[in-house]
Amino acid sequence: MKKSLLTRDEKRAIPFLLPGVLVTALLILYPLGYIISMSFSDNAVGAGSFAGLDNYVKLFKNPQFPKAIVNTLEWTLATVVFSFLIGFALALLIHRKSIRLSGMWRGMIFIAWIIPGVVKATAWKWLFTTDGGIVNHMLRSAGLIAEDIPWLTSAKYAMLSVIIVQVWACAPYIMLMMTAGLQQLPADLYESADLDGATWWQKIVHITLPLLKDISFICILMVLVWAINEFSLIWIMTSGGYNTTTLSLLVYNQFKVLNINSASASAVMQLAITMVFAGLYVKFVIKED
Amino acid sequence: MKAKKAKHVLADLATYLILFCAVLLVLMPLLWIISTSLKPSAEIFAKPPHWIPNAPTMQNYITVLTESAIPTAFLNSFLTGLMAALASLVLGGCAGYAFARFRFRGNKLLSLFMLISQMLPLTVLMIPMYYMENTMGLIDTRFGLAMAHLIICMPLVTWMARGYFQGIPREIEEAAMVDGCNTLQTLLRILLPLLRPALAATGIYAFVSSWNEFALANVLTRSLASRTVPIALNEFSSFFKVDWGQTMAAAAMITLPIILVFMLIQKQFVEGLASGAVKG
Repeated sequence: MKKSLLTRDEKRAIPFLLPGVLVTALLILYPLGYIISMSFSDNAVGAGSFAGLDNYVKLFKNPQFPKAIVNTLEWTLATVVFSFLIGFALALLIHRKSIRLSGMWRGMIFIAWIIPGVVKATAWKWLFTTDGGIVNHMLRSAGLIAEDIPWLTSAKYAMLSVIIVQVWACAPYIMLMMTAGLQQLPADLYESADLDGATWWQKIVHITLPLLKDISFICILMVLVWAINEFSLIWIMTSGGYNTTTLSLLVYNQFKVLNINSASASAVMQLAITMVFAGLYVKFVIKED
Repeated sequence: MKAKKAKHVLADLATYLILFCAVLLVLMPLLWIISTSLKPSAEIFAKPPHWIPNAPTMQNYITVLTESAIPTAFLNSFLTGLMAALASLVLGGCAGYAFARFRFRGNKLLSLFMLISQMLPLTVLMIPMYYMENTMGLIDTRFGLAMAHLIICMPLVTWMARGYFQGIPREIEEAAMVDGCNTLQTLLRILLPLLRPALAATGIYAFVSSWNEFALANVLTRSLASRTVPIALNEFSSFFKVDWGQTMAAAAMITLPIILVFMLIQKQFVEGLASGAVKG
């Protein structure tokens, strides 16, 4: 008998697998190859010739690039840290044994994450506006501020404003993931810790956190990748003004003025940064899988 | 003992208070959307602003429904989402089945590709996508946008379906095979009916992802022929003088179906999140 190139399972898999994989490859791998080759090419679409690292050299010399990197760093770090701290704290509170209606609290808080991104951005733009915005009004009524704060139109507050909205949306996601994790923890560990007279804080540091290490990393990496990739929220709220242009917005701005080679180089940089964290994420998910 | 009990009650009260504040903070923007949408234009910029409209009116909703681009955008979003969801459900569902059930070279590598693809920045893919669709004459068509949304939907659905198929014991299929079913018959008659709720939820999730997507739609659509609701809503608030009453009425109309849908598929959705399926 002639030995077949494909195993029996492979023959059966192909008709199911091939159409989906081909479509995905066409829509993802081809564009990725395209943008990488554009970043090494010296002219407009299709007609360019190889330009080596010229586009990258130009990008590194462009003062907008380091600025976008700093903005991205600030934005990503702040949203990840605060989303995690707030989300995890909420999860711990909801998970307390004596708390009733935990499902309701979880569901209500999770609404913030479900709202479509554009609605989020538009609504918060209206809440933050200096012309009739409710945020300034509430802060003034509470006596916290004397003058209206130009939330979206000043270099001092614009980044803070978009960070607040992103944390508002992402903390509920962390909360949900962490409550799911908390529910799977073995109760007897806590009982024996109680017998040993451990305090609430000791139990969190020595039992909860080590056991939730993997799920914590997974959702931190997720929020991190979302932050690096986020476009619509910042674009709609500030259009990238007042030091809020992150890498995503830089790519878009360069693309919009048809500076395709710079845009491609920036895009490849963004891709590289995202993929480092996405790779870590995949590693953790596979471990859980 | 008594002191300890009092401390517990106090801790409970503090917890409820914090949770209540958190819920208020979550709902505040939503309540303000609804409040603004029900106000006549004279009240919207009233100083000081008030939460309950003095003279509530549906005028903003009526204007949005009869005079704006929103109804057309709804239709565009619906058709685009439907195409993207159905295509990804068929293609991604089958691929997910293959990943879960068959041993083949490259299984692990391709699965990882599907997982990692969910994290690709859309601002990066948007550029080549624009030129690709420009060459194909697909700019500003619902079909073109639906195709672009497969970038998000295909990896998502494939990964979720893979998880669902893995969750079904092989013995069920083996029993069907012994009874004389072939692979396709087993899939159609045994597995699909079992997974109907899960796959429906996956399809809805794909639909919602397309419905919410902004970055790609922003560059791939140009006119009423294909503009989806996120783009139409953003146009509302990009005018020099924003009509916040109408903008918030449109925002409320876009959000309501999404919240209803999530209530419907909450269980499957949470499971999906926990299994590593993520929004693009």
